[in-house]
Amino acid sequence: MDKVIFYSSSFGTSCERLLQSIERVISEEHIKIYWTIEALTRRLKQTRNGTNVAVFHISEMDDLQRLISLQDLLWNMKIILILPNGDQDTIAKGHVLRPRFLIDHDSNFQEVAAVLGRIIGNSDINKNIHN
Amino acid sequence: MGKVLIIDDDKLNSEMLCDMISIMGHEVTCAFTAEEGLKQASSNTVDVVFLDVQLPDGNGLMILPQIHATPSAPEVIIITGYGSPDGAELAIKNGAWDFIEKPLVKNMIELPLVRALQYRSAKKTIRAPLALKRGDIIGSSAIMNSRMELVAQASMSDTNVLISGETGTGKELFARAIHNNSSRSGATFVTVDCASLPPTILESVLFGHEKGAFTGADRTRDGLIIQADGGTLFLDEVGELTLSAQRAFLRVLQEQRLRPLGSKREIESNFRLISATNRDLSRMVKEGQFREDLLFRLRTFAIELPPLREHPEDIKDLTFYYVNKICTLRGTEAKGFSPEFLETICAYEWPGNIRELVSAIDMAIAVASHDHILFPKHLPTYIRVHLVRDAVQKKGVVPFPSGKMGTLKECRESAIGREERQYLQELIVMTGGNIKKACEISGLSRVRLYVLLKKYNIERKTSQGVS
Repeated sequence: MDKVIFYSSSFGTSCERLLQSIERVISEEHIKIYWTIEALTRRLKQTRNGTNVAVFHISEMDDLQRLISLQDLLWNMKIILILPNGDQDTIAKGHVLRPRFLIDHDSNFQEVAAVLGRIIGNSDINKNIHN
Repeated sequence: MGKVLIIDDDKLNSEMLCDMISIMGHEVTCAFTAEEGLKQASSNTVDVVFLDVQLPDGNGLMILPQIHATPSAPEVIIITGYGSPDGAELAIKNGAWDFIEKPLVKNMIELPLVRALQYRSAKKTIRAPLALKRGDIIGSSAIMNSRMELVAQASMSDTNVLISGETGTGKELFARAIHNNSSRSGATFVTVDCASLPPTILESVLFGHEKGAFTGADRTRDGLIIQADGGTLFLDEVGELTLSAQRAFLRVLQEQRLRPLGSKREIESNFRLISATNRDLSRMVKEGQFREDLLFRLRTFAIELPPLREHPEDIKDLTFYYVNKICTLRGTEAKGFSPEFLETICAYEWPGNIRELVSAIDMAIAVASHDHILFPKHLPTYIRVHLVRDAVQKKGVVPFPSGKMGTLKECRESAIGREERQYLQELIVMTGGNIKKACEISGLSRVRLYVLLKKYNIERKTSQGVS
């Protein structure tokens, strides 16, 4: 079962670094990667089936805008957002997606891994309580 | 001049209270039972109710929500000769304005009454939003309406708000509703998920840091408090803040300024604070895990969200709404649902509250696939198992309502009858009462089908949940 949805429209150094950090806390078989917004949209339209965590690696502002237009499909998802830069306007736009954690490309992705580990850990505990 | 209703079976006490309140210049009426009191509250304009606890037809505290749900939604002052801390707590939690003990004297009732009337007068002069933006908040029960009233009040000022409630009750939805209805709705809504942020990075994420402030701080970064400047800062799971972070945050609330980690300069941030928790912060204060002074500041305005099992009358509306919403988001055709589907949903207690309900609906829609109607079988297995086990446990080992065990033939016929009835009900719903289609699916002749429908008193007309 996929625990994490990962989206990036490009695979560069930053994306590679991010994936390496994430794979330290969750094995790659539990990460489902999407490289286009269309593929991501198709996945988000399917049943969650317990997958409520997403990591979005945004390379440009258009990409962020497209994600914001998909906001309704992101209901009840815990989002970790990696923005293209740390500008005030970019960050303000990023907050529209109500991320649990927000960082930019030049940051330390170990923090992303730490946050992701906690979110998944908390999510597993809640699932056990209700089942 | 206010309109006051006294609900108390003690006629002497009622007369005395009536005289005191009349002398104060207010209009007073009396009722001597809960039923009479509710009738008067429903049919007349009432500003304040003095409600006795020990009534001949029940406990006064039990009718508090009903009094609040009457058209004038009066403030309620509980009066009792049998005061107890638990009763007082229950009264206040259920929205009572105050709790006073008999014997009543003028100075004990005067101030609460005056304050309650002043509050009502002030409420009337405040312009409420023309149409409150609710987002995904669904429910028209008295309890949800009272919470939306609180959202409206909270939206009109910048007061710190603390939203409490079990997991899945919609705390974040309410926080966003307050923001979206406030004067800051055009500015940023910044979420801080205190449960998701490891303690090692929580303070630097919240307050920001200078380059070199600690190992790994290779650049200066604004914290979330700065990012919320002009907008709303939503601290989710505020009970997860470490004591160190609590201390630092308290200073920010007191001084309206903060110093990023490693920085010599202080920065101002004008944010509106909304917090949420599913933990008992008062108990955490007693256990030394949460600062009392911080709790006072967070809880200037409190909203407690009820678990779903306390407002089951909203389950139907929630189901309608989310079946529709999820089908729209998925791009699938709208699905209806059978009465049994709704019955099953209403029978379950939903320990995970609304979030669990929405998740179950999501699964049911996926499982139903191309089926146009949702049936109980589409719901997650764990829910159906739970309800069946519950039903069996309640029934005990007695299979027949009369308590007597019949013959095996009777048992078999009873079981077949139940299955036939359920099958035919589902068949009619699925085919929309189309007899030709129903015959094709079931393999029954038209005549046989009509005989069975008549036998089980099943009508051909169906009610579909969603158009």
